Amino acid sequence: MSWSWLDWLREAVGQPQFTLLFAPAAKFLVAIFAIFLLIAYLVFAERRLLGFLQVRLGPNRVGPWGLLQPIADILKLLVKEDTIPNRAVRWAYLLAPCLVVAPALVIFSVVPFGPSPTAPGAPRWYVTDLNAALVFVVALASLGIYGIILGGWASNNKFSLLGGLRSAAQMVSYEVPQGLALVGPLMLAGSLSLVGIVEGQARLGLWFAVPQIVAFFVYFVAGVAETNRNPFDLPEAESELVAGFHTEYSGVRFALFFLGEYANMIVISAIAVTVFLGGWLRPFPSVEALAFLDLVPGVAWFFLKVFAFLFLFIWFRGTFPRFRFDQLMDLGWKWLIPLSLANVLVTGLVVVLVDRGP
Amino acid sequence: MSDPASRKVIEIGPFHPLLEEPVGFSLTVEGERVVAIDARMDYIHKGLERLAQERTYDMVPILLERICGICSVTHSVCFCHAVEDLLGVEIPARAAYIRTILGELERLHSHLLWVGLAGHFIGYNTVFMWSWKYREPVCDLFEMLTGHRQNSALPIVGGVRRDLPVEYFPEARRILDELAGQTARLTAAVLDDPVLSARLRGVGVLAREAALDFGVVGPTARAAGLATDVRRDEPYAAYAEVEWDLVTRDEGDVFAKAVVRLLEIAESIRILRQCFDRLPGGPINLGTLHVPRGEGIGRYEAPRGEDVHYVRSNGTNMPERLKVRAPSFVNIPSFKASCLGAPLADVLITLAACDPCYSCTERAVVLQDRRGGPLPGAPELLAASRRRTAELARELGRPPDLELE
Repeated sequence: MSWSWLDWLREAVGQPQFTLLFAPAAKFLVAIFAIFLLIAYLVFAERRLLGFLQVRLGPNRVGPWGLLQPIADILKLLVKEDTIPNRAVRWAYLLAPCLVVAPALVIFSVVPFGPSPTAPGAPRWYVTDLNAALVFVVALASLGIYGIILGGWASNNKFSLLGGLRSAAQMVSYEVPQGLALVGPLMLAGSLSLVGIVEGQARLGLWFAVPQIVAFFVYFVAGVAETNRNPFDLPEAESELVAGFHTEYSGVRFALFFLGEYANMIVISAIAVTVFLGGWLRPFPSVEALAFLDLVPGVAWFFLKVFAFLFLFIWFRGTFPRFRFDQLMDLGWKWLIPLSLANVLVTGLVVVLVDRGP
Repeated sequence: MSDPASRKVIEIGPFHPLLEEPVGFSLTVEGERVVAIDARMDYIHKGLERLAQERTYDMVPILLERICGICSVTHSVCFCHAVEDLLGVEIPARAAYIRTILGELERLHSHLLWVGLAGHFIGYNTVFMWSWKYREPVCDLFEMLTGHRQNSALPIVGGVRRDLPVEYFPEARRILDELAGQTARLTAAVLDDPVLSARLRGVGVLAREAALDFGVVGPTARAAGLATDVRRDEPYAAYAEVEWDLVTRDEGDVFAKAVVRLLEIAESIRILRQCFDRLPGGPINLGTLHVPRGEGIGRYEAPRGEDVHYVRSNGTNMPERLKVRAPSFVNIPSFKASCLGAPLADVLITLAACDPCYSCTERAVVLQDRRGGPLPGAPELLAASRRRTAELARELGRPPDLELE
């Protein structure tokens, strides 16, 4: 019988073991596939948008409006030769790109794209609700930089090494304010879980970006620096370091670095939206007059905000020249860290004085 | 980080995204700080001076347009200046105006090109795209007036080869008006941008004294407070008859160089408008000329600075010797003053800031003694050069330029 495997599947789905084992895996696969597609089209959107900002066309030849360009690019990168320099440190060279991509993708498993199920059987819009999700996110986000440092060192190329060095310095200056910026919302929500933080904003009836505007700003600037994006794209500054840490990489491994950068952009945006912009909540969640906005599902709000953030990333690239290395360090140590520390202090005082915590 | 053991040599070139042409810079760095710089400029010697000695005086300017990818008018007109100096003739007024128009159009598109490249080098691709977009109509205008975007084949000894199509002047004025608005906006945007200021001010400073020592020319010198410009110092073509201002800045940093070039764009547009309005009638060249025995020197203000050509004639219809000194040749050594001690990121934009043009500069000879004997140093080379100059003076029967001991 040609349908027998389907019958088997139908039977298997009913088993409790199946749900336990395969449902999260399937969910994660779907999420990853969606993210890959999102990244591919994010690259495309960036190129078209930059084209618009820079009075040129951008890719428009492959498929209608150039929509198949990302697919063509992926195919090209997949079939390209994967070169390894003779005197590279082989294991590190091979490991580095994976080290960039993997943490970025794992973070998606704790990001709540939508609300927790209100009724039994309703979809749950996150893979898992980790109770220490925020710490998990910060820890994994900083892991990604090791891939860049390792890649720069293992390539045995001066440009790569300088790129890796810059990356290390950048990490040291930007991890700290970024972590500190997340402490404010954490205190307001009284929860480390990302779902809990969004629910905290629902309780407060206000996106945390309003009371935590300073932390929001610090987080975003640090986020741009962490993703090595313009104007902080020093580790790969083209005119200085050729291609920085990925000078020697080609083919799939180069694609992985590329993927990592864009996945990180989405991660930074998703975390910023979750922590500061109310995640799946509509604008002004406490204003009753705007209740009709709830007709739009929470997931749509979430992605709308993420896209707005990604647009900001691209807009930045079209608007700012690259900073110099010491200016970048100045900004991190002399401005962002004191600012975020002050924010933590003030928030803590307010939380203690006003309502002794939630 | 001043430990000599931590020194590394970074080779910028001969192939590097920073460079449009092959040139080699060896930057010795300690960490990110550049402590020594060495340049190699012998990758694309084209032998054009030699080729010019096998062309008639009419053909040489066409050949010399190929010296530089940008300064096509510069080198051909400069050669004409040298031969006209030898002949001791004045070109007709109409030819002078036409040469001025060509020269200023070239300056316009050269400066716009540089602004774009500088933007690209500091990771500001939007400026790159916009200013190259603005450059396009200038090249189109060049084509409209001469038939080619780059190489007009117009300059000949004693004037210009063909007349400009006057019927296109209204369109040319319209393009200039449009460009004036666009470049004014671009200039305002660059001057306002706080990030650009932070990135370029005080970077790669070439002080006035150092500029004098290295004898730099063009915008590089004018940005260091030296009011030097051949168009003003020794006016040729129509520059004495049109109104324009010399743009100078005192800071000597990369920002000042950018400002000088951006403001010169406005001045070029001003000169062009006057030339289009006042183009006089009359002949456009002096007809056939016989070049007697002798030598001549031509000076010309290229977009990058003073260009010098030396021509020696033996009375035949081909030059016996042509020597080209492109402006980048004197600007490039000034990196020793402006780059040392700066971080790598600043050095690279400083290298680009004098708008170096390497293929025009390729006159380098690399001395190498395979037997390992001592190489002649600067004093020996200088003495050899003086001896040769004295010999030339004797051959040509003129008093020597300088008295030898």
